[in-house]
Amino acid sequence: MKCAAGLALLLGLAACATVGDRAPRPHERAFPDGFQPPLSKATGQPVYGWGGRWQPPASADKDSPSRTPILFIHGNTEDATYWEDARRWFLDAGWNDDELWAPSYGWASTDRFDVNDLAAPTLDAFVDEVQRYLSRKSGRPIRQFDIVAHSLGVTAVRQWLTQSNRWHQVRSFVAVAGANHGVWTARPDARGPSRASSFELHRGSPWLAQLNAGGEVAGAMRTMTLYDGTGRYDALFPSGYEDSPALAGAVNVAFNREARGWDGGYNHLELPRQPATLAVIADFLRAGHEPLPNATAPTLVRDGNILRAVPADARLHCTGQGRYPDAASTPRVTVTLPAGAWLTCYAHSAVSGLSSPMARLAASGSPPDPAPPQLTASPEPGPYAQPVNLRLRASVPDALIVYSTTSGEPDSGSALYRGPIHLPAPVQLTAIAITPDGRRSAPLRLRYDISLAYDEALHSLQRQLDPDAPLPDRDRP
Amino acid sequence: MKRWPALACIALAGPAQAAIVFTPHVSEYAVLPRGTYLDTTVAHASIDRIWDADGRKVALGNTAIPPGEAIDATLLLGRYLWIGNLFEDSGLPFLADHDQVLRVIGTAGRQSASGAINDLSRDFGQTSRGTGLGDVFLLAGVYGQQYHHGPLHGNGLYTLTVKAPVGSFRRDSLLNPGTRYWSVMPQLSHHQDWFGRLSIEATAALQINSAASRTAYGGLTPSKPASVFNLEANFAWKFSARWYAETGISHYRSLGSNRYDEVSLNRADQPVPPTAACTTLLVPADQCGLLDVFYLAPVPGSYRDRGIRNNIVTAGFSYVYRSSAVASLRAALPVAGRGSQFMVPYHVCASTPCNADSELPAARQTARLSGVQEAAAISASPYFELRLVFLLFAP
Repeated sequence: MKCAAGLALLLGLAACATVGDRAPRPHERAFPDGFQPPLSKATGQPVYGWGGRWQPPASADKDSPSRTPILFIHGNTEDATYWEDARRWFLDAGWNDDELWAPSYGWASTDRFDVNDLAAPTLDAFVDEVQRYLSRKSGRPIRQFDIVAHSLGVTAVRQWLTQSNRWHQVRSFVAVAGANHGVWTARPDARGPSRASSFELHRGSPWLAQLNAGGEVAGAMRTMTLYDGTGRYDALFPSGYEDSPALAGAVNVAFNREARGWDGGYNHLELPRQPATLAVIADFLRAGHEPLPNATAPTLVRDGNILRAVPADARLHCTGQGRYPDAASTPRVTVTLPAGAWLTCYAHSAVSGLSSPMARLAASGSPPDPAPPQLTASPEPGPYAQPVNLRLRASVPDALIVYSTTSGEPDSGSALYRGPIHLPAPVQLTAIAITPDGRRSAPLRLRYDISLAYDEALHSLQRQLDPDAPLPDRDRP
Repeated sequence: MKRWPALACIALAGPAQAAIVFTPHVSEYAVLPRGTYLDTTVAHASIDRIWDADGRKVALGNTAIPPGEAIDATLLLGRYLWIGNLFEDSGLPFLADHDQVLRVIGTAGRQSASGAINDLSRDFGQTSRGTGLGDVFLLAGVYGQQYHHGPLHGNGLYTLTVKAPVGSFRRDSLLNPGTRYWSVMPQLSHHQDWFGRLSIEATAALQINSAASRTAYGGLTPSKPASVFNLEANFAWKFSARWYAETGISHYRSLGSNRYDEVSLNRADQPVPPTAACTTLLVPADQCGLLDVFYLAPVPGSYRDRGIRNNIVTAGFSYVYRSSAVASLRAALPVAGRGSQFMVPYHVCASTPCNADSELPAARQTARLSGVQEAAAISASPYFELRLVFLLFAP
């Protein structure tokens, strides 16, 4: 590296340090050549962040990554540099550059808070790109990731998994101090730049109810939560909220309560960045089954109303009533689909460590009407000042409605429409209806701009003086 | 009979606004989320007692003012705080990964004195009112390394404050919201948290003062205020996410003496009748009988006090509203102190102008004067403080 001698002298800096020694910076795309950072849904710009062998010399190791890569997902108003301590710790612990990635999915500013519904599609695109890059680099498919998320990153990841039906691509998920059941500082009547995340994450919010409705863990993904638990150290989860980050069905570690005792505890920002907690996280990740590199992922095969898994060593995990099956669900070789009810299933191979995507299926009878179902929505798409409860209606009564707010087309395993969808933040949503015999409606693409700007425009001084002053365009696509 | 030569007893007070500005509250020095904060503090004191140079509590004006007289001082502080990192993309060591703090503090004061104090001031051609905008403080700092040892964790905060003397200032006023000297205040602060319950803020600050470009109240504000050392600690107990109780101590002392080069305080109505001059000024009997009137004038010179100090204990509580606002109510009680007092000789003359050439032989008198305003006068009366903090980004 060329040394900026004058500047270094002037500022007394270590400006001559090699690039390889330095940490990624907040507004830096510290990614290797050939990696195309996706656009952030929040900022409209390519995401900042770090990952891969971004520092020269480029990695020439064709076998890298040799273990499941970790994605670090930061919390509200933070950015990827939040994970610098974790990055160094994992490098020291044996992970290599190709196995560590972190996007900055938002604004990293308290002037513009992050929002789960905007973070989810950004994460979806980022995972796609890491997968594409690493698969091309290593010459073999990279099918699974580990995820370590913090705070709003936890709920953003859970929303991404729900919306994208990519549970099978996450081997282990460590959720640190996430507001899974609400956070003390969020309020349903919030105002200002934090209002969207506040609408999402206040206790009892419809958004969280949607997120948790199908079960708090799903698929073969191993899940661990790590949080304060004392109500004292993490200011976001005081008494009454101390177990909000726990997830039913996960390995829940109230770290300060269980492990620290009189040794004190770590606060909200410290929890995922301390050697003691990083060791717990790493142990959990190491205990995961490393997927066989060239194995075929299981699939669900339907013969009439009989469901089985391929390959033969794979087993089915199914549940009814709209709940997600998880690793604790009874594994079966075959399942007979019941009439008049939907099952949610995935196939998992203990040998390969791989799973199929989630799918919802029902026994099919003779269709009374072979035409595809129709799907309608209300209220109409457009800008709204306040959160919207979106109602979807299928023309076929026993049709299943699924939707996705990530970029992909929904499939039967995507988020299930259980009632009006609470939209507290800007979303682009695609919904389809599926009948028990497999007929699908045309995708219904909807864009709702639940906009602070719109709210402010409604209440501007100009509109107080002139009620006919123009508002943002309701008809924009 | 009005005892005009209460010259020796001019002992009044002005609020020590610097002490109020920097006395810490809960998490004042903790690493806080990046963003913009606004806070406003209203401090009110009814000052009826001050500390004298010997550390005794004395009434305002000492014997020259009847009991029950007081100065009411209300100080309003408006503070804008920004926390962020201007250098995060620079790669500068330390600064790149330690957030910075910028703070602007504007002040305003409303101060008034009760009747006898006004009368006394008028006797000396001065006023006792001072209302208007005060000085402006600009602070820049950087957080230190955060550490964690067992049950305690904390961080440092290193700041430099500059006080710009732009507040309103009248040369004849006992109570001025502003000053006429610059101050630079390097400050080392520390936040510590124990078991997530007890929050400790501690700070040491040095206030380095420039010479004053102007003095007030007949030169009873220092022309060269001494530098001041300030040591404070605040202990807050967290009962719940919303309620805190806190108690604190503050030690404030000058390093060396205040210097007074422009003492001109003098009785407005001169000449002085012989009865008063002879009995109170102890003019020799032979001169008393010879003259009808006497004139007074302070001997020009550079005078110094013995420095000032003040020890205060505070107690209060804080309530967090909606997670975006904090209200704190606090009382402060001075427990020990020393005010600025110094001896000034006065010429006693038979004619005007009164000076060394015209003074009467053996008639020179020495008066014990008290310095006034924030660099000199130390209130011994409690004050009360209401503080509201707004987090502009919070829900």
